[in-house]
Amino acid sequence: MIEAVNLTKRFDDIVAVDHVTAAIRDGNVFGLVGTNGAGKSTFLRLLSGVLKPDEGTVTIDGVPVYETEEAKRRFFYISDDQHFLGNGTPADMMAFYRKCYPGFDCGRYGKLLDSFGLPASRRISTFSKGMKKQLSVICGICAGTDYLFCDETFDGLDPVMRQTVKSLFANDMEERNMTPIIASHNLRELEDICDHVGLLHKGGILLSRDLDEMKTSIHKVQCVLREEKGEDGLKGLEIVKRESRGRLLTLTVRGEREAVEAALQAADPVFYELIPLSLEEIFISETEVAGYDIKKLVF
Amino acid sequence: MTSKSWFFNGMTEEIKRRLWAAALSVLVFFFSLPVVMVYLTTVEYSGGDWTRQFGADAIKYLSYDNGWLVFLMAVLAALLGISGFAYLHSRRKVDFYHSLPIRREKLFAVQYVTGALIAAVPYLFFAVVSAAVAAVNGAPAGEVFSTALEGWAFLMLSFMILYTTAVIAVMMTGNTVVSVLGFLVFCACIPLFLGLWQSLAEICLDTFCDTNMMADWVPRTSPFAFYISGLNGDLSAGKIISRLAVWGILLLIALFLHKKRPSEAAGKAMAFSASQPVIRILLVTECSVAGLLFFWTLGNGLGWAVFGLLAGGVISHCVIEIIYHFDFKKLFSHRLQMGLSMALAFGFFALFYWDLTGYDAWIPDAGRLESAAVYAGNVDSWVDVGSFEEPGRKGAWSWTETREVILGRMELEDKNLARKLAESWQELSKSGEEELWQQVYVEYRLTDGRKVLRQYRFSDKALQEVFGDVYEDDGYKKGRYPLLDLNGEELREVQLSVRSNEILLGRQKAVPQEDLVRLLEAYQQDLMDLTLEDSEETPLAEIRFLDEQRLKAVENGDYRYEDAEFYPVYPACQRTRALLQELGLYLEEKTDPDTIRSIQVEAYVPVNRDSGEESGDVVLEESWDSQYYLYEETDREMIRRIAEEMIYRPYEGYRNLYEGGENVYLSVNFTADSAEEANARGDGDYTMTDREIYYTMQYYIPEGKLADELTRRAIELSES
Repeated sequence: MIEAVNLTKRFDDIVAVDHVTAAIRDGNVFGLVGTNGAGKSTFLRLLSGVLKPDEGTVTIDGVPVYETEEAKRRFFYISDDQHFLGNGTPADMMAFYRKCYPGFDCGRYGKLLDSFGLPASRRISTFSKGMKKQLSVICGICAGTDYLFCDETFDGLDPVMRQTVKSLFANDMEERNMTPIIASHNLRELEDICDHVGLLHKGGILLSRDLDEMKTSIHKVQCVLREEKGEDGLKGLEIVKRESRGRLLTLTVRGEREAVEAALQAADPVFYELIPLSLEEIFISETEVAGYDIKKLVF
Repeated sequence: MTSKSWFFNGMTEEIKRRLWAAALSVLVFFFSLPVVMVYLTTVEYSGGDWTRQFGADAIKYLSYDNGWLVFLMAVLAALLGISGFAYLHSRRKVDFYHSLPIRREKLFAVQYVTGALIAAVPYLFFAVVSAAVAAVNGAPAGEVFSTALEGWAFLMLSFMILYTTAVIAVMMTGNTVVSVLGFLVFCACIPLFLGLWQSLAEICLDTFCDTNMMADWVPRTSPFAFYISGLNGDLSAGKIISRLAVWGILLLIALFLHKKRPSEAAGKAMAFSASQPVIRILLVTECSVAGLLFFWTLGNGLGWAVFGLLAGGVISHCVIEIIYHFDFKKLFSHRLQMGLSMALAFGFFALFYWDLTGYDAWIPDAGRLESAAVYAGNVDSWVDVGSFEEPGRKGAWSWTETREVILGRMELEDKNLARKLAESWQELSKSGEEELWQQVYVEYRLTDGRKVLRQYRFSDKALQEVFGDVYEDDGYKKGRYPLLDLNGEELREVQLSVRSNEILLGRQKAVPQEDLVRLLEAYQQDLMDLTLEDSEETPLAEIRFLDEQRLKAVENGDYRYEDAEFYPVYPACQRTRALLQELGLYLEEKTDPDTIRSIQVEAYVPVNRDSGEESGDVVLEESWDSQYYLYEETDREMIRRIAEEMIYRPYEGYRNLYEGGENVYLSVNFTADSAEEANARGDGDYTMTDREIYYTMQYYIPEGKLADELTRRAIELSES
C-alpha cells in the first residue's frame, strides 16, 4: 500500500501540494483528478521519488520512497511527457529498463510492440506523440512493477488505444495484482476503470473515496408525488440536491439503494425511478456538498 | 544485479548517450597527438643531429606543458562537465532518471566517471601511440613513454579540477547557458575582483606597488588560474598534493550539491535560491566598480566615476535579473540589493580614493622594523643578476634581476634609511611642486614576520639628495652587487673590456692568479667605497670576474653570457685603476684624434608644434618628434675638438641617475692596421677598401656648447 501522509511541496511561493494525506490500496485503480495546476503531476512526482517533499512522507508498505531503490523498484512512472534515451529505439529502451527493473518481461515487451505495431528498431524520435505514449505504457506494463504511475497517459491515445491500454491494465491487475495510479483532468476517462478516486484542487485533496462506495451511497431519483401527500413522505431521505420540473422531481439522495427504495415506497409516489449516477454527477454532488462548484474545478 | 555490474552497465549506457562527445574526444586527440607526431618526423632540423632534435621536440610535445594540450583539456573539461550533467536542466530527463530505482549518488558516479573517461582514454591511447611513433623514429623510448604518461597523468589531474568546477556550475544552475555563465563566473569572478582592487590601488594609492601579491592570489581563487598555474616548471610533490586536495574538495562540493539539488530546479536559472543574492551582489558590485573605473579613466572626473558606477550597476543588475527570471519585465526586481551593491561599490572606491585606511601615510615604527631593502629603478639598473640553468650548457645563462630578487638579497645596515626615504617622499608629495617620477621601492620586513612593499617617487634632484646615504650603505651594496659575494678562491679569470676591446688577463696577459685575486679585492673595495656621485660618471672600462662556470661560458662562446655581468670601472675606482696600471694596463680617458678617420654626426632637433590656444596666447610646447640631421665630419681640427669631449656611448647605461639629454650622437670611424684588428675592435662592423681599413664605434657629445655647434653644423651642411 502506498501511503502519503501530510504531503507538502512548495515551488518558491506556490504551494503545489498542500498537506495531502491519502492511502492507495493494492489491486485498485486509483484515479487522481483535478484541473490543470491542481497538483496532480506534482503529487505523482512526489510519489515516484522525483521530488523531495518539503513536509510529510510517502511510503510503500512502510518503506520511504525518496532515494530508496528497494521502494522505487516497485513502481514505474510514466510522466506526461516521457523521456526516451537520445537516438534510442524501443529495443534500446528495453535493454535499458531491464537493467533497472529486475522483473522486466522482455518476451511480453516484444509481443506488445508487435501487437501495437511499433517497430523495435526504429528511432523513437521519429514516433508520433501517440506512438510514444503507447511505447511508454508498454515499457511500464512490462517493467513488472507492483505500481504503475500514469500522468495524463491517455492523452494523445485514440479511443481504440485507450480501451486497449485499459484492458492491459485490467489484465495485469487480475494476473499480478498491479495497481495503476492514474492522474487525469478528465473524469469521464477514469469512470470505467477507477476503483478509487482522489480529487485534488489547489494542492489539497478535496475528497478521496471508493467509486463503488460513492455509487452505492448516492442515487438519482426521479419521481412524481401525489398532490395530497406532498413531499412530507420524503422526509426519511437524505436529499443532497433537489430539482423540480412541473410535478417531476429529480433528487440526488444519499443512502443505500434498498433504504432509498423503501423510503420512496413508503412515500407512495405516483411514479419513481432510481437512475445510476455518472462519476461526473457523483463528483458534482459530493463537491457541492463540500461547498465547491465542481464544474468550475473539473469540467 | 551487483553494484559493480550496474556501474559498468550504467557507463555503457552513458557512453551511448554521449557518443558525440566520445567521438569528438577521439578525433581531437587523434589529430593533436599521433598526427602531429608523424608530422614532426618529417621536419628537417638545421644544425644536424636530427634524432636528438626530433627526440627533444617529441618529448616536449608529449609533456604536460604542451600549450595546445593544456588548452584542449580546458575546453574538454568545460564541455564534458556541462554536457554530462545537462540532463538536470530538463524536467523530462529529471523525471526519467530520478524516478528510476537508482540512487542519485550512483547516477552521479556513473556520469562523473564517464565524462572523465571520455577525455582520459583517447588521450592515453593516442599519447602512447605517439610515444611509440617517436620511439620508432629514434627518440629515447624510455623518456618519451615516461614523459607521455607523466604528461597524461598530470594533465588529467589538472583536468579534473576544471571538470569538477564545470559540474558544480551545472549543479548550481538549471539551464545550460546559465551553467556556462556560471562556469565563467567561478573562473573569473574573484580574479576580476582582485584585478579591480589592484587597478584602484594603482590609480589611487601613491605608494602601492605590490602587484605580485594580487597575482599570487589569483591561482588560489580561480580554478582556471589554478589549472594553468601548475603547468609550467617541474613536477613536485607539493604541486601534485595541492591539486589532489583541490580536486577532492571540489568533488565533495559537487557531491553535496548533487544530493541537495532539488529536481524541480530543472529549467530555472539558479538551482539554489540562497546562492542568488550572493552572486547578484558580488557581480553587480564588481560591474559597478568596473563601470566606475572605465568612465573615471575615460572622463577623468568624479562625475564620470559616479556615472560609470550607476551605469555598470544598473545594467549588470538588470541583465542578472533577466537571466534569473527568464523574463525581461523582471529586470528591476530586488532593487534593494541593487542599491546595496552599488553602495558597496562606492564604499570600495572611497576606500581607495580617499585612502581611508591611511595606506600611503603608513611608515612602520622603528621598533617594528626588523630590516629593510631598497631598490631604485634608475640606480644600478645595469647590474646583471642571474644564474646558469644547466651548468656548462651553451646559452644556459638566464637573468633573474627582478626587483623581488634584488630586494630579497638586500638588508640595509641602517634600516632607518628606508623610513627616511618614506618621510622624504611624504614631505615632497605634500609640497606638490615638483614632478615626482623616479621610483624607489622599499621592502619593510616587520618584526611580526610580514613583508610590506611600498614605492616612493622623487624628482631627479630629490632622488640625488635622498639616495646618497642609501647608496653608501654597505647593506645596499652587498645586496645590489652580486660580485661582492665572490671570493678569491672561486676566481679563475678576469676579463677587461676597454671600449669593446676584451682581454682575459690571465690567459692573454699572463697575469698570475694572485694578482687576479688582488684585482678582485681592489675592485670590491672600490665598489664598497663608491659614492652615488662617483657612479654618475662615465666609466673608463668594464670588468668582469669569472669563476669556473662563468669562464666556461666565456670559453664556450655562450651568446647569452656574452655581455652579462660586466661591472664599470669608474674614474673613482682608484685601487682598481692603480692595480691595472701596475699590471701594465692603462685605461685611456681620452681618444687619440689621429686614430680617427672621420665621424658621422647625428643631431636630433626637437620640432616645436602648436598645442592649442590658452588664454589667448599660443602656447608652444616641446614635442617628442624631432628632425634628424646627419653629416660626415672630416675636418681634422673639428675631429680633435670632438675627440676631446666625446664619450663612449655603450657606457651610457652605467651612469646612475643619468637621463640623457639633447646629445649629439657620433659614429666614429677609426683606422686600423689590419682586418683582424678592425673586426675585433669594431665588433664585426668595419670597412675595408684598397687604400684603408676602418671600424666604427659609437660615441656621443653631451648637450652643451660643442653639441650645439655640431647641431648647427649638421643643419647647415644638410641644407646646403
